[in-house]
Amino acid sequence: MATLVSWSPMRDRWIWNIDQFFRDLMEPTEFSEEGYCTVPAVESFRHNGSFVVRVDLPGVSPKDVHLTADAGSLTIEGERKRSREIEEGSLLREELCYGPFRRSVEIPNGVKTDQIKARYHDGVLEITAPVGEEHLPKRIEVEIQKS
Amino acid sequence: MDGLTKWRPSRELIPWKPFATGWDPDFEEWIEDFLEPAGTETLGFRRWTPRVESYHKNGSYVIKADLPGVNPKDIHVMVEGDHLILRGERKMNRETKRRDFSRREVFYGAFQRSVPIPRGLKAEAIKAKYHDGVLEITAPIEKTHLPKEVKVDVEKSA
Repeated sequence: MATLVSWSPMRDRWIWNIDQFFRDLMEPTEFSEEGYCTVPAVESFRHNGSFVVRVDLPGVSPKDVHLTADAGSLTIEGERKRSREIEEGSLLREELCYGPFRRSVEIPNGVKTDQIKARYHDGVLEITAPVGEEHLPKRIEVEIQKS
Repeated sequence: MDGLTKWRPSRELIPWKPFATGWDPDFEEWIEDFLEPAGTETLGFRRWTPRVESYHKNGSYVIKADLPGVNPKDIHVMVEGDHLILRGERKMNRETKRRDFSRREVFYGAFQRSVPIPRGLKAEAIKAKYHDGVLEITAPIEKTHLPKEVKVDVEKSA
C-alpha cells in the first residue's frame, strides 16, 4: 500500500501480449516443420456439458499414448513408432514423422479431471471430461424495461 | 519425374491474378503464403495436402499417407499418367460443426496429393487399406523395373 500504482489495464494486456508473442516464437507449432513431428494438432470445444479435446495422432498405437491432467492443463504424450517392414535404403519419400510427441492443452475451470475418458479411432484421440454444472456457461435473460 | 509442378491451390481459387505473367513464381508463392498461411482456413474452402512416405518392399511399391479422422469411403485413389493421386475430404461431424471452440488446429475439408510413381508399377493391381488414420497403398512392380544391385569390381590402383 506504500506506493499507489494507477490501474492501467492496457499496459498489462500489452505486456501479456508481448510475453505470449515470444512464447509463441520459441515454441514449435503444428505448422512448423519441427512442430508437425513433436506437437500434434488439437481441437477443443464444449459439447453437451462436457469438455472435448481431439488430437490428430495417425499411426500411433493407443498403448504408446499417455494422458496426464493437472489443474488447468491436460498433457498428451507418447511415441509414434516406425513400422519394422521398412528396410534401410528402401525409402523413396519420407515426410511422416516418427518418435516422441508431447502436447499440453489448457482446460477450463470445473472440468472433472477424475472422470476423463479417452478413445482412439481412425488416428484421432478423443478425450472427454464432464464439466461441473456451476461452471457451465449460463444464459441470463435480462428484461429491458421501456422508459 | 519430369514436369512435376508444385500444386498451388490458391491459383485455382483466385481469379484475379496480377502476378500471373512476368513474375517469379516463387515470389508469387511467397506472397500467397504470406497472405494465406497454411492451415488458417479450416472451413473447407482451401484444400490441404496430406503427408506421405513411400518405399520399396519385397518387389512392391508402398505409399503411406497420414489421413487422421477421414472416413475411408471419402478417400479416392487413382493413377493419372505417372502419378498416383490421392483425393478426398475430411468431413466434420455434428459436434465439430458447433462453434464453441476453444482451440482449433485440425484441418477439415478437401485434400489432394499427387505422388510420382516408379516405372513398371502395375496400376491394375493397386491395393489400399486404411488403419489408425493412415492410408497404405501397395502395388507390385514388374521385375524388370525393380532396383538391381550391380556388382562392380573396384581395382586398386598400383
